[in-house]
Amino acid sequence: MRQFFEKRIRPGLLFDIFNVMFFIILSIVFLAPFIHILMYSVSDISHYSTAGLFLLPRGFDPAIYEALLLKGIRIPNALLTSLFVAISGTFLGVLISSMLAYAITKPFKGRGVLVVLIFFTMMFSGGMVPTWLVVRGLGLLDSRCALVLPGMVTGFYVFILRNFIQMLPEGLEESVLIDGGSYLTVFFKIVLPLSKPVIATVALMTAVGYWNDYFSSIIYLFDTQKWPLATLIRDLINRSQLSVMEGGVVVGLDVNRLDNVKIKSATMVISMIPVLIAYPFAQKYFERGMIIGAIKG
Amino acid sequence: MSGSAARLGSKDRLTFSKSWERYKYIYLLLLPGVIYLIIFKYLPMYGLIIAFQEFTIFSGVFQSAWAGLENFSRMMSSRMFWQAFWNTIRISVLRLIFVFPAPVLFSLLLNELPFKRFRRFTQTISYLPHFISWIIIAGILDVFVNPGNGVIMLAIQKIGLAPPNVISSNTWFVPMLIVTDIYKTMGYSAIVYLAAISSIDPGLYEAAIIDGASRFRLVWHITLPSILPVICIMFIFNIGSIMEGGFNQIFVLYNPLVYRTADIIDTFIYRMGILTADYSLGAAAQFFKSIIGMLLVIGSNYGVRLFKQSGLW
Repeated sequence: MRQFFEKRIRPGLLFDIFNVMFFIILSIVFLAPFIHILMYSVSDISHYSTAGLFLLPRGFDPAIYEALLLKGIRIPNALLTSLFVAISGTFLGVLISSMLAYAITKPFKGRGVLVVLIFFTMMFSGGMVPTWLVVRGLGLLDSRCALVLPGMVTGFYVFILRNFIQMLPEGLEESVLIDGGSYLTVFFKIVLPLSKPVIATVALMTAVGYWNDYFSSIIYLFDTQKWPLATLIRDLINRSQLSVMEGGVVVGLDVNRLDNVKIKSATMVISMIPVLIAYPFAQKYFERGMIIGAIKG
Repeated sequence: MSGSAARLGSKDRLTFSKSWERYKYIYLLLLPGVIYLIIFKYLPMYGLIIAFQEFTIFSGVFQSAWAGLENFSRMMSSRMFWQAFWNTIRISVLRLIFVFPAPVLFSLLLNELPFKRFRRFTQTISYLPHFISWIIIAGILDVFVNPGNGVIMLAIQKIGLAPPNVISSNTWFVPMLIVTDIYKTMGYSAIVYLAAISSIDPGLYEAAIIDGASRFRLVWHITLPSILPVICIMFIFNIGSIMEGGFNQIFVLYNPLVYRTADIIDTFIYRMGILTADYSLGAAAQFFKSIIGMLLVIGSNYGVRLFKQSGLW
């Protein structure tokens, strides 16, 4: 339809003009907040006005990043925690989910029951309070493992993986089994490598979920030194009305002439960097994730 | 689901020992997952029985005294609970009315954009916020609407108006939830509609153009009806999550001043069940919510199936 239109003079030129203008404005509205905090964080605010929208830096003073990442200890610590949680949670979660997903494509005794039990976890949940009691019972309170375990495997992703694995050609599996290989060989040598696209999708969604999770550490951790970056930022925002000193305390810096908004902006930029770096490469998988999620969900 | 059930049929009469012999590595592969599900999914479900106990952390799930429906009657007579209940439903319905149509409109308009590069570019930025934490969105919001030095608030002051305190005003809080929700989810939700639009047979458009249809009529009579099934299915799924209300969003933004309009069941459960350590009351509210939620999900899945069978899909 597009090629068809683009070949001739489009009817409704006025509509096109308005539509293009609408989307230009929309793009600006979507991007401006991110640009603002980025530019604010590198501006020299001791010499320039802090009022208004920062679409370009005013002066240039990126010292805040050096202070946060090299002089302070809280941001590097929080970054390490966030990375630990995201990497270990994604790795274990995807591994266990895909093992489960492959297993339930085989007609072993008890499969029907297991599939129903997995499906049921998608509809009914014990919820926050009993889960907290289980984590407490396992002795995981105040441990970083409590940020990883409770949300690691979800029925939804198991079924997404299962749906893909089911479509793989059976001939490959049979030839491995005839050559004396076991189902373990089939899983690691054939199923995992062939399922790369869907595994990448599930892994990315899981990783983003972990990276953005702030709530687990609020209920499972008492020691604020163990917080991941997202929770640290929440604390910074909640203290935004307080003095610069307070903001400095949150990020573990001895500050006197730093603006609180600047600390906050720079911390937010730091926490967005991994997502922004992955974004161009991961887009295809993100889009695919939405579509399988919506149609098969 | 239906495909796997059909394949199961023929080998259903396998005895367990035969199955074990043949599939022992399969049992090995599913072992970690099964243990995980038992500990982190089914144990918490079992833990919901504390809703029927006078649970204390010292006596534990097995030794706490039974309380019958005592916790539920405490919950039912709590004004705070009913406030949270109706707030949840109000916020969810408002989301269905305002947030749900946004990506549909967005994808219809985007599809009419003349330049392919620009179309791609706009779409790419539009779903960036989906991957940014609600924490960051709240932080950005604070930078913009903070009553002291927010960018937008200072601008409003400049014109000579009194800027509202969006975060702690019962009038502004829910509209703010809706707007930030549209901002965060519109682009991402549009992907599924754009995918549906791109699978429409171009022949339909060509035929309609030859018949002299205007562009508006093409959208109205071809594009919209073609994606209507997808819209309906997404809508039914959304109805299934009415009891949710959006915990991650509300929890970072709300404060005691706006409990009257913004406190939802999940935030109520958090404050009762975790913060004030009234575990049994929290579990009672959770039980109530999970049961209604499950019925809604089953109902909406059934609705989707009926809809697909109705031939419109």
